[in-house]
Amino acid sequence: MTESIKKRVTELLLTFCMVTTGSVFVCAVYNNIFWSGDTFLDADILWQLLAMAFVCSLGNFIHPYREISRRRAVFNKGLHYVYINVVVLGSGYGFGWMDIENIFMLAAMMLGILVVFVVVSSVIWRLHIRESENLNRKLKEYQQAMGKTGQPV
Amino acid sequence: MKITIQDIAPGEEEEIIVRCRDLDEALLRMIHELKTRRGKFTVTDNDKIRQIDAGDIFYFEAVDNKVFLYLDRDVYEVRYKLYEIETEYANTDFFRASKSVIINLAKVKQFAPDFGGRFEAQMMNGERLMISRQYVPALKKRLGM
Repeated sequence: MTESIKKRVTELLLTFCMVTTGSVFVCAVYNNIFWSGDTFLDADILWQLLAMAFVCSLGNFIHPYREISRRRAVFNKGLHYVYINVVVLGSGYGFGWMDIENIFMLAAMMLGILVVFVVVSSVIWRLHIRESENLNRKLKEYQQAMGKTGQPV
Repeated sequence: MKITIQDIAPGEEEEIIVRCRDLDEALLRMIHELKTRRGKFTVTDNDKIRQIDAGDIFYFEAVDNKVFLYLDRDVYEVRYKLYEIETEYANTDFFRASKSVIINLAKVKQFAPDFGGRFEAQMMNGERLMISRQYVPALKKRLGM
């Protein structure tokens, strides 16, 4: 398995775990607000959440490994957000989690999507910062090992 | 210091083996010289021919089928293709950072995260260059991560 495929699979699994966690959290809050009268939840909702989280995670493939411009990368991020909205709202409608005519339910669902998207993106950004810190540490070691000071020898 | 030169068979890769007790400063400097001063680039500067040490180069960039060599402040066009430089300088400080850029790792001040899983190389002369996502695993490998 090449490094890039390994990295993609790792990213997919990491995103899946984070999206699942976020979805369960949002589901708990959502149920307390809108379906608090229901004592028992249908067990199917667990599978539905996992399936939805997995399909959301597939949105990672919107960001290609090949080289793209910064503008394209920003556009893809927006497209990714739209994709997640379509998947979650589609799941909400398809699995009967929300009443489509209830504007508050729709707004709460969209707010939940935004919160999870921001949290997951922040965690990924933090990991990216840590990765760059490790790169910088290794770069310094590399440059020191070879006696490189940045000045022509 | 004893120097031994051995003949090798045609097609065999040339190799320098350093046998030592300790890698002292002088030896490191010599290895650095061997790695970075493997070649000089010939450029034309106002009809004058100039030789540029590979170790002084910050990066190469391909723009519209032309390849440019960037020093601290100056820029020269070179008569090489980017892939030729990449191949010729494969085991040196030069690193392919994107489709159109080869950077000198010795001239990188630091790396910073960038949008979409990419990194930005901040050079010692203040320039910022993009490291494409697809070249990040190779960069990590090069730096021993």
